Amino acid sequence: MRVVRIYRRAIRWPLLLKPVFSMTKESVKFKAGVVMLVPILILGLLSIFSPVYYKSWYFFPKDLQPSLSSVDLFLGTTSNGRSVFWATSNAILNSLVIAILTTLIASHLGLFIGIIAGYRGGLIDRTLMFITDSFVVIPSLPLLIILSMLLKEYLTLPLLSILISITSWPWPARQVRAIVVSLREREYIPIAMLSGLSHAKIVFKEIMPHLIGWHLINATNTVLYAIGSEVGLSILGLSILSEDTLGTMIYWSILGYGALFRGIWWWAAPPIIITIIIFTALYLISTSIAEKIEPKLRWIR
Amino acid sequence: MTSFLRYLVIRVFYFFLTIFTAFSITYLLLRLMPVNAVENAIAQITAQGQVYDPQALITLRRQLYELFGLTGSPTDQYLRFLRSVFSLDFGPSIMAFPTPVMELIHRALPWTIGLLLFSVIISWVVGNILGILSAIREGSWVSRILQGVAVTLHPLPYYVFALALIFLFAYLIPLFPLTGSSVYIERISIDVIIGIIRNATLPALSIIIVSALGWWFLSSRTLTIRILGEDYVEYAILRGIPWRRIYRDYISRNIMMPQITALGLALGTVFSGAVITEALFAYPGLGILLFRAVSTGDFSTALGIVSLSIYGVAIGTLILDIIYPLIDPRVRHR
Amino acid sequence: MSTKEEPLVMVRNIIGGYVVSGSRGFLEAVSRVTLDIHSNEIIGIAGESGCGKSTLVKIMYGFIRKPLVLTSGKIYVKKDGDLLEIASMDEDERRKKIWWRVLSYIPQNSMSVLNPVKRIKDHFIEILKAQGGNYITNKDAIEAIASYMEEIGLPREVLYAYPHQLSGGMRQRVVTSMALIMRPRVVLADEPTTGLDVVVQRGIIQNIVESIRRLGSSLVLVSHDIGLHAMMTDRMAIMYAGKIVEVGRTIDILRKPLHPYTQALLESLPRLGDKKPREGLRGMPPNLLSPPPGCRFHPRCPFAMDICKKVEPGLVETEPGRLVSCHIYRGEEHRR
Repeated sequence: MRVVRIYRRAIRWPLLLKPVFSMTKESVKFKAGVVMLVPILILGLLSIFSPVYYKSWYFFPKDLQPSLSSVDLFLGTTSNGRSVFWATSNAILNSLVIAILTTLIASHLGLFIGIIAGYRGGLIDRTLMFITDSFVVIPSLPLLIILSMLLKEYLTLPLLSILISITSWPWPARQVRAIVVSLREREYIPIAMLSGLSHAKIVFKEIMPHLIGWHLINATNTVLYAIGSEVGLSILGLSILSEDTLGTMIYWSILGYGALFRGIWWWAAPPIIITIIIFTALYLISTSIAEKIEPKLRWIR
Repeated sequence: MTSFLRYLVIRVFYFFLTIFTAFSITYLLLRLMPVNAVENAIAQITAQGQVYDPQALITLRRQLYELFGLTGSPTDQYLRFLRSVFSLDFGPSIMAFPTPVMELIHRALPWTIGLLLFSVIISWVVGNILGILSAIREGSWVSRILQGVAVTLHPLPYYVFALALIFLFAYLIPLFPLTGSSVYIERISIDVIIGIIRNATLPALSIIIVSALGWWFLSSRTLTIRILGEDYVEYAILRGIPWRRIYRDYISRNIMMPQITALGLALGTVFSGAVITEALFAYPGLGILLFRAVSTGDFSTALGIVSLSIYGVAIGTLILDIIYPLIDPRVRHR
Repeated sequence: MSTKEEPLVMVRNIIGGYVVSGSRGFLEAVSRVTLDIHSNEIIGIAGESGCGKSTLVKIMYGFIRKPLVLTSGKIYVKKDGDLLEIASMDEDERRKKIWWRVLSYIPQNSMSVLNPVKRIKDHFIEILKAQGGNYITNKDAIEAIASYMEEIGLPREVLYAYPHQLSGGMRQRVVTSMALIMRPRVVLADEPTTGLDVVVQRGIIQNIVESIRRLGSSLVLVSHDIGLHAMMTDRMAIMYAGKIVEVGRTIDILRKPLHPYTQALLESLPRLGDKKPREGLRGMPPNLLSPPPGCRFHPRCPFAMDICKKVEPGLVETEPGRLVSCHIYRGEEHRR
């Protein structure tokens, strides 16, 4: 019995990928976004191959300009004598890990709460929405700042993700709830209920398919938000300064060592440029999914 | 008008309720931290290397414990927290002990409010105008370029764009200061004014460009396109009403309502982003204050700033909620 | 109703339709329509949904915006003794010379045609300013409009209301009075009663007809409701698949419908005392992207002959004022 259920659920996964493939054919935006994202992802994955010494200070002479002599020196060195190239590569990976962890927590939490609130309605709905709205009132970054101030010593990648999640779950929750509420009003839900389908089944079979698209969009936006928050925290010196992330590279180069004052542009430029590219790429992907789900939006082109 | 009055009362009540809950949640989160805020702060201070008179440290410790509501029963602590937050008394700051937190904030606040008001209003107006124009001249190359630019700019937080600006204008074309100078406003003189403008330009530009060309542009463009397809615009054309009037009375008026709502919703994000941007440019507003508070472990000041931002966003939303019925007759006359 | 005078509006061989996106085809909604509108008459344009009647009046008015395209044809309008031709004007010209003053328009969706943020009086003032110049002060304008409204039977307070405060019927009356305020010669009304309940419908239509008669103007009433036409119109034109198939006095058509489509249409109308449901015509109207050759009705026509499949029938005048487009009546052209 369980085998059959697992089998059936496994079959559903390719269904998720089908729209992805169809979109790569259709949407210019989607293609553009993916095209921008892939090189960065590859660069990030290269970090697996980073040499053992990449973290050691003064391994290389400091403040070297970029040269094509070796991979290590491809983007020059930092004021700590480290390879900018490997630092960037690791930075990409770490930032993305933080962002993905945050998304896994926050957007699913939001999804869960949104579904419960929207589906059950009544008192549960109002209570959950009240809590959500109260979180929304608190400006996210200041809250993040305070929390990370307190936890400065204990900050690790997972912990940072959790912190960012605390401030980013309300938004998907609100959105999902709105969609579930509008779905609930349609005729087939009461019919499903009357025909004796268990609530869980109704949610999974009738409501989920509509939500998957929005869930993807929310997830993408949360990734964006997480990267942005991490950079924001770094500017204040509140990120995980001992690790390489896009944010910490910016912090150390510009704020810690005044790289721009001293003309060491090759240390500051890569994280900035890559951050901007990631933002644009993810945004393109997010809107192209949105356009596909809401065909009315498409005619606005 | 009594329905309007009723609406007002409900809104104000809701305002207080939301603030109360927001602060309570903040308090909860703070208490959930497995860290003793006071010890943390004191550890950070002493780690700075400054020598404190031991007696002063004990007083400080006691005051901090009181401030953070860590003495007394849990209910006492909660109430004390609420009291300090609602009476805007956060005690002495740590980084400029014994100057009270509120005084530090007082000095920095005008800068931030000035910057925000200026930037937000300009970007809202400019962004909306550009969006309307782009929608009207749909398909023209100007419209397409603007759209391309908007797509790139819109997802960026202000400070990320600010980084790019810094690169451009401070490094490549040194026009503006990289770090702000603390212009002390003693009397208004040309130098002071120039100083203010030089300091404020880059932060303001970051916010304005990203906001106007990003979100406000895109949303007003979408709205305008939708409105252009509405029945009442078609009817206006049928009646022979000239386009000038249609732009003014039909499009602009009907855009304002959702855009004002959007403004209210965006306040929180704008504020957060602006604060970090200020820190980046060492602009002497709340941003740099926060930065210094963080680096010196001055938790009281940080808490003060966070509380103020909660107030700011809530008040801003309240004001917008009050203005909205004045603009949308459908809400005004039920 | 004088047919001896020259008509107020002459529609000649209008071909127009919608460009389907991707230029994969052209949906010909109106195919070679010729029609005259005389002074002081109420003429109805009847037919099922999609037959092209709404498109026809839009074209007549000159409101031709993408994706609607006027391929060919002419629309002549009499104004102050001159004969103007609408198809050759650009929108600006139409706006200045024709719109609202010679021809007026009552749109289909009266519920949503009013600007939600403007009061009713401002809607009127807008029109006056657009049509008459800015020398009218607001106060004078409001006075004039108020007395005009009272003529129509609308209370003065309506002027100060916002659209959402008015009921559907009220809004429709406002829209009607707006259409008549410049005293146009011809009013084109496109399904003015859609979305209203039957009782309100009747009141509205009577209101429109009374106002028209009082002005001495003409009304072109587009509706799929034959009962409405029977009640209100002097003449009627039946449309099918973009073509006019029969024209004539309403009484004559109802008593003796000539075209097979008209006959089927009238047959299908339920009457008091029916014991069982009536049968409708079998089949569907043709796809206008690629209409059938010959007579467009031939696939469904019970009297279809060979020639009907090949040759399109033209409009034949069997009696003065009575036109029908069907091969059955070929050769029965009335000799004048």
